[in-house]
Amino acid sequence: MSNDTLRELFHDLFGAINGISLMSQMCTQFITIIEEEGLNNKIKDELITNFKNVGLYYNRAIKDLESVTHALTKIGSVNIGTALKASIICELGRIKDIINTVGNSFDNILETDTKEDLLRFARELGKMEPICRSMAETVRFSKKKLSEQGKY
Amino acid sequence: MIKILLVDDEKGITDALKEFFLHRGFGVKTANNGEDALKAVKKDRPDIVFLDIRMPGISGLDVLEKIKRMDKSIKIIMLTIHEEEAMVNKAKELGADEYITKPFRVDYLEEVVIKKVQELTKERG
Repeated sequence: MSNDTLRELFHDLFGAINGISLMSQMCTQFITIIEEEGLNNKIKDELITNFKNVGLYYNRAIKDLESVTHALTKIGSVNIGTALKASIICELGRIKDIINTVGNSFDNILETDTKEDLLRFARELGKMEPICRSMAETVRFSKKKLSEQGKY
Repeated sequence: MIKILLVDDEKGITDALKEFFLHRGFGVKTANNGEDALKAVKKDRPDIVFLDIRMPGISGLDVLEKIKRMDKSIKIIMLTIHEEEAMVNKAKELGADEYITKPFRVDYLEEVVIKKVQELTKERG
């Protein structure tokens, strides 16, 4: 496997983490907009789209993590791959918990017209961003270790 | 009105950022590949371009080079992942005005845009 292929795989994983992070930050932005301008259907639709996108990026992150760890096994860096996977799976578990919490009230949110419900929805999704920063740090640490071994 | 072009192969990313910058009063267009990005630059002449460094088809670096050949005054902000030093150096050589690593903070993107707008205002007198 070439270094460039490995870079592509890491890039994809970062892309998925970036996707979750961005959707989460947009939800935080909506909190300010809802508080300042009140509720409207456009914001509600965008919040729902963001929530759906979080789910898509979460699934992609799981898949990309699998691809990266598989590649690391192939280049003889099983330990780095195992440590990376354990850590990221744990963080993605926290993301999944938030998705589930929000998802449980998703049907109500679709029908709700109350500002408070949507603010709660946005605040929950906003909690994902620091988890993404932590995941990115973990991935960078793995890349640094690979670089030290001349494998990245 | 300052015009921004967002270029990333992830539609979810360009859509979300489009809403973010529209809400702040910018004119925003998006492209999800290098070819469309170059067409958009020719047609709309944006002031600022956010450009993903790695994209399928024409790479971000090639797009950067072509845009700078068309109009050097367009500010180009490269989006990259951490520690892609060789690519970042190449982007600087080709005239990239800034680079931001993923995962990025949207408030930082806004800060960079404000800085670039100030530079453009100075340059255009």
